[in-house]
Amino acid sequence: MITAVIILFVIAPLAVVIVSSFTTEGYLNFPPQGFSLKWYGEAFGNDSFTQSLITSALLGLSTTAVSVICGVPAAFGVSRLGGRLGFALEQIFLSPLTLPAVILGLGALFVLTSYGYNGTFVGGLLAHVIVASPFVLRSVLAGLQSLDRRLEDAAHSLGAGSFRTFFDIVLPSIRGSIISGAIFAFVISFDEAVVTLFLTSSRFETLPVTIFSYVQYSNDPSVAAISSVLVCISVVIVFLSTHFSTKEV
Amino acid sequence: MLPLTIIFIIGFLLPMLTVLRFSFDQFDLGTGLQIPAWSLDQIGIVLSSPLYRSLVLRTLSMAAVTTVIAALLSYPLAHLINRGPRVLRGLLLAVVLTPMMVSVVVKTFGWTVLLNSNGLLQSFVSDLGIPVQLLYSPTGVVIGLVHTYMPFMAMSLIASYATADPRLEDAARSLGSTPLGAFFRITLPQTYPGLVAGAVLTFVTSMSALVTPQLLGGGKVSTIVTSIYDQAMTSQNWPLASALGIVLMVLTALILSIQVVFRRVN
Repeated sequence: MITAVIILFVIAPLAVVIVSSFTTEGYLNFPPQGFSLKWYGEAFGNDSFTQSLITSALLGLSTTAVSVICGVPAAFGVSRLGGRLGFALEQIFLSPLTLPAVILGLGALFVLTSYGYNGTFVGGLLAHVIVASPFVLRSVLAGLQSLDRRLEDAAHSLGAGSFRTFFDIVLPSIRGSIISGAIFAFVISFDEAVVTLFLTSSRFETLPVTIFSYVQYSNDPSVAAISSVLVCISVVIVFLSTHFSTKEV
Repeated sequence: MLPLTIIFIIGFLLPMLTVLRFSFDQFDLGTGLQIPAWSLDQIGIVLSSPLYRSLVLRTLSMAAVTTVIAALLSYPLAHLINRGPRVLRGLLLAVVLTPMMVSVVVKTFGWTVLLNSNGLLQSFVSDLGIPVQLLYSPTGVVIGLVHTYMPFMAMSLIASYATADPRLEDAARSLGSTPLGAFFRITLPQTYPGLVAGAVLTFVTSMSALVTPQLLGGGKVSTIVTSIYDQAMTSQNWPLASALGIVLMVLTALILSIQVVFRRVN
């Protein structure tokens, strides 16, 4: 009985958004009346929604690319460096996980404004990489820990240089950790709202930020429709990743 | 390692130092200009004015209530996932994990519809004669915070429940203990490390929430974080926003250190 109430509590707000996106009425209410897809038409006809959706997708992909390209070598470096310096660097790279996002948003607002990058895609990308790269780092560090170092020693003794060893031996063995870190990075960036709220402008607005401002000032079911689209994208990506990683192992 | 180090210097270290530096600046409310200085005025405003003292207290108490409710809801979940029938386990785990994949903006938006003054829940509560306004009140904010941050508590408790040996409960039961007695005397103490870890995480994250108090408080429930947002974006008072940020950082560090102390003691 208690469990049923808890399940209902957890699921209800998500279900409400999805169910009420199909209403025929002109305002949001629960339970909704009738069934129609007209608010999906409205949502995709709304330029600010489609523009933010495109921005969010591009930002998510760029964040993932930068986080992986810079994060994987950094994780490798940290784990091979070892000792106090390696540990200290690891703690710094992982610290955005525990730091309140609002502080990061505030600091990024100050720094980006003073260099003229506030409200730009590049500025948003920099902040998103800080938020998302710890997830790549954490996943890759875990992968590296279970990697047998004797494989690298063997490659070295057979004449492979450091680069060759990294690309031919290390990278293929930690492929699974890189992929799951990358998927995490994408979803974190795609759903991020707090840091982005500080860095937004009319030229640069992500979907969660657009939804945030609509919810405050309007009661129109197209917000429910575009929110459902956002939920579906995240859930499908996470589902694909679990499917993919169980196959891999 | 170098590229990420450069990114972290520009995107992380420099922003943090700027927040710290700006918290010493002064702000002219008349002209709206920031005056570079080395003063403790802003921190003084946050620590001594009754307005900001009650703001800090409200933030801490909402985080505390959220943490307690999250723990009360997570124990039955953790118990069923570890000890319940096999069929339920997967389903319950999915129930705990699904909201973690959904943007906090969307979850909170769902609550604004559910808690609405014309909604089912509000009329149910009013019919019961409970004079509570759900939306745009601290009650609504706490409901949203529990929903958003409970998964941290649940995951932590599920993990520590898994390490508690069920045979000890069986032993207690066979020696005449009731199921509840076995839970309180045997299982609960074994989950304390998970409870502390989950509570610290839930407290810290709900204290730093922005979207939930902003949307469910509707401007009527301000916390440290919503004030930081308002001061930075609306009033453009960056020194005061920075000082509030420093206070939030110190509180976060203090609460995180509880866990370290707890680990040492055990």
